[in-house]
Amino acid sequence: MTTLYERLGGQPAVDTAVDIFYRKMLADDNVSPFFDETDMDGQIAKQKAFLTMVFGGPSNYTGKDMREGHKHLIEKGLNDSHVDAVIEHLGSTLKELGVADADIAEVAAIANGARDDVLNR
Amino acid sequence: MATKLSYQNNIYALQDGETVLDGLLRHGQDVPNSCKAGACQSCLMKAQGSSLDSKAQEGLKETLKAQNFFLACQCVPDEDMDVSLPSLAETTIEAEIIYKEQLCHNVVALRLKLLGEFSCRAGQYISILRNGTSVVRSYSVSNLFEQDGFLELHIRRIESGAMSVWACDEAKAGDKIHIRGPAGDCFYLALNEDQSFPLLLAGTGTGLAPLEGVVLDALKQGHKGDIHILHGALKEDDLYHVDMLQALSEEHGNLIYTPCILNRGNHKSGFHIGPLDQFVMQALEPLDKTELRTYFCGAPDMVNLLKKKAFLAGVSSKNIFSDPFLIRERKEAGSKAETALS
Ligand SMILES: Cc1cc2nc3c(=O)[nH]c(=O)nc-3n(C[C@H](O)[C@H](O)[C@H](O)COP(=O)(O)OP(=O)(O)OC[C@H]3O[C@@H](n4cnc5c(N)ncnc54)[C@H](O)[C@@H]3O)c2cc1C
Repeated sequence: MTTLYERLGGQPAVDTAVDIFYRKMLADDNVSPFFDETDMDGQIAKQKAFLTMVFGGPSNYTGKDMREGHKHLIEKGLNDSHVDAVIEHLGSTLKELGVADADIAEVAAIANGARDDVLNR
Repeated sequence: MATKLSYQNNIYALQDGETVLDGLLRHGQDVPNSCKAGACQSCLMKAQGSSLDSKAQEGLKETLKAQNFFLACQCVPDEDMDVSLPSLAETTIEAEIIYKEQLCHNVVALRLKLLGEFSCRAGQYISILRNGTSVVRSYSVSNLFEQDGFLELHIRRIESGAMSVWACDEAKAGDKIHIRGPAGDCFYLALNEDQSFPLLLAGTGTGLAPLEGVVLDALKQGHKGDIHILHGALKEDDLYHVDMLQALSEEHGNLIYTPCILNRGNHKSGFHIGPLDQFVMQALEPLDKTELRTYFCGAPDMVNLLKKKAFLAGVSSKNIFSDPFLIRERKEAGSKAETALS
């Protein structure tokens, strides 16, 4: 049995997906303000860790990291609509890369599982 | 968890989440530092016996890592630590200034002869330690060290700056300093045999130093693709090496040099007038974005803007190289570590 991470293509797939995914986020006026003051290299490294996690790969991103990492953004108005947007961009990124719908749904479910940590609930 | 530092025979308590550097500075200790972002390596320290996490050693040479050196600005200890400043002999090489040249009204070039074993790639940066002071600052290498046998740096004078004012006003041939390094990944890589991929390099002020280094290296290694270099400044007299770069581009058909100035004035023809990012995006537009490698150096705000614009235009993140010249904040100033070179 192959894992979701293997089916998606492992680390090379994460490396390919991260540019497409992060470009979509920066181009989306709804979520891009949250990335305004951050340096791009650091952001891309974080997005890679995030994608590895939601792809079901070997990740040391914990719920606590998620909470800590987004606390300051909640003060700036981070809410459910932004998490929705992220999951949507994730889905359309994977669609562009030719990933099967069932796998996209599984990734979206994992991402959705981080929602309460991200929104500090 | 609150941890304690043992430093110069004293014990200092750290606050929760505080870095070794911030803690020691808060306790009034004079620890060399500059960018506070893990780039310049000015705050190099040595740990006695503790295990260090990878973040605290990121970007250090393997030889330094192996000896337990770390960057104090990136280290938040999770256990008590015994730390010390590195000795000059352990981490630096002595160098002699052999030549100094005024490049424009506020930039000098210094050439250094190294009095020890050293190697680096053009475009990387080194730290300079001024003898008899605790001032450490980074400067980029603008020439081919291996070929020339000396290092060349471009240093811009910043009003009341501890290192740059000395370099511009006082330093002279024959003076000795110490250097540490090199560091950084802003250098040319041939990548594939045909070397036909395009290069685009842009920066403001002395951001030209590493860019020039990368261009010289690319030409020397026989790069075949187009090389676009754009240099931005406020006004014409802030630009330098204009004639040199123009001559170089006449000599090499694939080198395209674009000097850009923001303010219209009494300028010669051939200068582009307007914001640098506008001309960078114009130059980038027709290039093959999947192959293009970009290098952006100099004022951090411009570097970050160019990175973002290039990325959004389709340049792959792994092909975007940059050195923002992060500057030490003034004590009175706010808490932002990244003050931009205007
Ligand atoms: C990786 C890296 C590479 C670098 N390469 C180069 C290089 O090749 N050439 C080069 O010239 N510099 C380069 N720098 C910047 C350099 O390291 C120093 O920060 C710079 O020379 C100022 O040092 P200083 O000791 O003169 O000033 P400091 O004593 O550090 O004080 C500078 C003070 O001036 C203020 N200030 C900042 N910018 C300005 C400004 N534009 N005008 C007026 N005041 C200002 C700041 O608030 C700061 O407190 C690089 C930096 C990094 C991180």
